[in-house]
Amino acid sequence: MRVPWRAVGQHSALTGFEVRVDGFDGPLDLLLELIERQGLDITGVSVLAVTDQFLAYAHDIEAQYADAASEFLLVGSQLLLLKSRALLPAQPDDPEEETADDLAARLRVYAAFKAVAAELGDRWESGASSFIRVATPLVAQPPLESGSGDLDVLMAAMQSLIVRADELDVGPPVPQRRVSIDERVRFVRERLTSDGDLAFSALAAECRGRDELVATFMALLHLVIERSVQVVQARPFGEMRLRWTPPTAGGDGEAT
Amino acid sequence: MTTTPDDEPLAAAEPAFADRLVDDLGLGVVIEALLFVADRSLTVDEIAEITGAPAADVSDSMSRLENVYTDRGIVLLQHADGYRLVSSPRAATFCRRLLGLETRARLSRAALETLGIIAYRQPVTRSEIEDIRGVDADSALATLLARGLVEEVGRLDTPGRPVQFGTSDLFLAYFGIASLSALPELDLPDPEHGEATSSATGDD
Repeated sequence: MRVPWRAVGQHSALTGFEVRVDGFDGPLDLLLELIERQGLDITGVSVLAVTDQFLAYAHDIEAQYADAASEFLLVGSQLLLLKSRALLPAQPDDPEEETADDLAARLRVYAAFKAVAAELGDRWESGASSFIRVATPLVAQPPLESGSGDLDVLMAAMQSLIVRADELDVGPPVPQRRVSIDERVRFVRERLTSDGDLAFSALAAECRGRDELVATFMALLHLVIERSVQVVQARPFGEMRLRWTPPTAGGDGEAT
Repeated sequence: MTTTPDDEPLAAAEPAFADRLVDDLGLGVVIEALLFVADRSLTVDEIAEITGAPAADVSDSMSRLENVYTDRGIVLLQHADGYRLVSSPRAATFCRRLLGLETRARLSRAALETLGIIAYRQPVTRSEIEDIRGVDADSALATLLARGLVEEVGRLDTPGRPVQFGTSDLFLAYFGIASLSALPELDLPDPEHGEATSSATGDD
């Protein structure tokens, strides 16, 4: 690569794992370095004075680091705009006239923080840190006295646990009952074909446990899709009436 | 301590007792003890609650303590609204020896610049940092967060609610600065120079 910029300006200890392009850190950094290198003050004029050099770098960066290029291009285009304005006769009421000063102002802010960063860096390097207390004080706990462990006490404690386990009659493990939806489909069909018309709440009342209720509901949905069951609800949140609609009526179900 | 017969909260009886103790010892002494024991910053309100002393009195004692520690091995660090006792940066070499901290990691220039912006402009969002530096701040921010030098201090109430960053009390400790007001001055251009010109609307 080319001459590293760190060799030019002040000693800026450049370490760390940031991606650095040729030793400078972004377009403002480059612009600032170029201006300082020429021994210029940060003004709109000196911003313009280094335009060509900046653009040469921006061009290189664009070729090498496409993702880092956008900011360089932005600043580069600002510089180009400025330069073209400087060459053309001035238009007094042109709002863009300020852009050179804006860029210079932006550079000045950046330069201020750069100076502060250098000071912080020196401080960091000097190692004049304060230190916080390393260990938090322990809350004093009464130590265990040696000899306080009593084997008889331990035995007694164990004994009482064993007795309690015997007293607790948990019985044989209960096998989990599985509720199949097919079975519930048969159940719903049976109830509906015998009664013809049934309230959902009545059906739900015949379910034992949540599993069965859920399976019954799913079975009902299945039957609705099949068009074997018609659900009628007269008003919102009202009772749902279930009616058995035999599959033979399926043909005209489409039209109604 | 015995159980109170009525449902008068037990704590209600304590302040009077604590008050007497604080009066006997002097509030400064109590505060000093608290700061010594604490493994974090203590706020004035926290101390006021513990001691039962008015917050204004706590603040007074705090500034008196600050003066006590001007020439000692211990420094009173002030961060946000909290206080913390740390070792004097002047004794850093020896503390470092005690702690076995011989080598120090270095901070990259990008990290230092980002840290500087956060220190002076806090609370500040990522995009404000990037505006000033003209480069992506992701990796510098990640470094500073990982080292505990900066922390998230809130969110800006604008679309996307961007995170705002500020420096931590560790930042002050690491750099041997007693409070943010002791930071070196930022040499910024006159604000009126930049502000006044940009409002031209071309109405004539």
